[in-house]
Amino acid sequence: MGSQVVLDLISATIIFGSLLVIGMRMNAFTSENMQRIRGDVIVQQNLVAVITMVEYDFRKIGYIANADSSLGPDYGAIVEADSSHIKFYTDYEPFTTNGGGIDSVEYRFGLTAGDLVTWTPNPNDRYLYRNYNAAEMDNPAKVSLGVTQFKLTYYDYNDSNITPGVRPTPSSPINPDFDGNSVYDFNPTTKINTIQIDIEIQSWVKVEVDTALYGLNAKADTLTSYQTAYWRQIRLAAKNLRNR
Amino acid sequence: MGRTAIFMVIGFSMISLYFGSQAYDVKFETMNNAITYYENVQRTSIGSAGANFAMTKLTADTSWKGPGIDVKYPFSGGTFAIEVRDSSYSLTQYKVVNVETIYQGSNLDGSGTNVSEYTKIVLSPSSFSKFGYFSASDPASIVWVTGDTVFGPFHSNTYVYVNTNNSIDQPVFMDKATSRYGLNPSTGSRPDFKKGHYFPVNITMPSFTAAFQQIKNSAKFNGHYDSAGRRNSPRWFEGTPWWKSSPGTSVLDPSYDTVFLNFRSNGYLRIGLSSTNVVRADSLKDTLLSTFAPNGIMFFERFIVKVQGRVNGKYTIACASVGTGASKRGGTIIIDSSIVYVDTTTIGAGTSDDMLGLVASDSIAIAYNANNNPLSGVQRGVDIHAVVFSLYNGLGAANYNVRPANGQIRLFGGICQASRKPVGTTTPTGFKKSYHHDPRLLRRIVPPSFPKTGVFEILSWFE
Repeated sequence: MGSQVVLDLISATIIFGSLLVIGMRMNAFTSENMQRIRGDVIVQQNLVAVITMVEYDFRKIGYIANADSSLGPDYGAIVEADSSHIKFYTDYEPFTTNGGGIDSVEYRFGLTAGDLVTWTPNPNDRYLYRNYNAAEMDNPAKVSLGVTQFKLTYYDYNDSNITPGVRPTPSSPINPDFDGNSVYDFNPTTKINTIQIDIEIQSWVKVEVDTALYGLNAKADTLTSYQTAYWRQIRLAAKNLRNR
Repeated sequence: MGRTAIFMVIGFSMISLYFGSQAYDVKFETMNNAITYYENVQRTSIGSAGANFAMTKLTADTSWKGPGIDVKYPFSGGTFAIEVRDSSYSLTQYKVVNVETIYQGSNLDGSGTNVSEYTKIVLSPSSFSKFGYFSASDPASIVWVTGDTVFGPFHSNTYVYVNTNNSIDQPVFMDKATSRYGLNPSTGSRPDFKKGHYFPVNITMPSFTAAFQQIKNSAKFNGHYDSAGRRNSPRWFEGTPWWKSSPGTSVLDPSYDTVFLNFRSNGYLRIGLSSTNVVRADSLKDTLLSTFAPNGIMFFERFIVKVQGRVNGKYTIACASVGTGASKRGGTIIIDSSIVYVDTTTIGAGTSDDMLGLVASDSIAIAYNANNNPLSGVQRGVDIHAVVFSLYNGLGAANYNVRPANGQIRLFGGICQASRKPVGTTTPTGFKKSYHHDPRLLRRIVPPSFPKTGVFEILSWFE
């Protein structure tokens, strides 16, 4: 146990300690990155799930399995339409659902305080409601995949932005052509030609973002934020809107 | 130190391999997620391409059957196959176009299997009744001007002649508009096409046979067909024995070439004969329409037909001429007085079953008589609830430029005509126009056996 041995032990301890710190730091860094990337994947998967559902439904607007039937007294497939809400007629599973008749589908993005998803740490995500047929209106399916934005923008046949609003109630005149109004004015949703859909999904929890990597903030080393994925369908034109 | 270094290298390698594997899994999931969505979109796009291909072929040749489901067209990394089937329901003929799309899935999940998707399109012969306004040949001298509003689908098989007023007011076309040659003038005019203007779209008037043969056959089958309007014929109403049993001398009168049809709200039809503006009282007969023309189709050949009354049910009156030049007989429908539906309160709900088609080989004219002129100086207008079709002529008003001004023609239905005809002047004489489209016509609630355009229209598109 001469001094040489002691020096060797000290040197070995320092080297080993350094390697251990490097290893631990590498482990932590890699784990953190993995967590962030996996969070991105989850957000991406949630986004794809939501847009697949929305695209599938919206492409069916106005579809009628029985070509001789009609969409009822509403003068058009879309009943109500505003920036966070749309209700339309279509026909799913024509031989088994709703007696083979016309189905109604309604999407509504909750904008009130009661529509916030409270069981996630993210204070921004809200429920996206999907109603399927009138019988289920009181108990809609709630999509809570971190949807923080669901915005619908409508365009007419001249590609001008329009605000169709809500169709007049059934108490309004049902014979518009006999009292001076046109069917076209009666239900402004018939003006809709294409729809732009904007959806934003966020992660449930915040992650740390290395600002040095992204150049986000020169003053702080790290920044916590929710991972966000954004999708825009620029012009969705339901094929059956233009029939007849 | 050598052994320790080896341990360190092995250790770091294992750590790197572990995290590398994790990173690969995440990358795999990300790629798989993106590719799955891409493949779905691609599959849908290939299906749409195949369906559009089939629609184009069917437009060019309505008898096209498609190569069948076994013939695969390669397209954009996948294939599509097309099968066209004829189908019918009730009296309506359909074409069902099935498009099978096959797109090979990615190998990321180890499967790489083909995934099929189906697009199904149902088409049906398009009827002229769907148009709010159809004109085969608009004269350049009659233009759409500020204040004109057209309800219902519009087609002009020439240009859409419009004024060149650049004010914000402009002719408005509320529904889908099509034309063969587009706008005239193409610049400087600002018509408002609320549902777009598409051209070139060529829809011609059918031939005489195509327009009338099906109506004739249906009338013979289970409606009322009458071809005895020619002069010197004793057979005024074939197939109506009660009429033959009480012919009187009028049956043999060669001057009778006009038939009056007065629709009664109780489902009866009052029929009379004349060769003048006044129907002969001794020729009047009341008959229940459900037995006179069970399928609602009445076909009169060689006659001039005058109509009025309250329509209770769904009917088509066809009036075809015979002969040419000086020997031409019949083919004109005259609106003798207003003709309206009994049930106008449930039309918006689509439950009213009152509907009338007036199909003439020649003109459809509003008569110049006391019914259609002002009463004690009060302008009353005339109501026409019908879809009118004039093969060689148009809807006009008799003596339009000399008759007294009498308010509006309140037409509820649609107009299909070879060319526009005047109904009044700005003097003013005659009528102004208030034409509205019957929304039921777009829901395929149409007068029976109304003439078809010869092309197919898409009823439903499933993908």
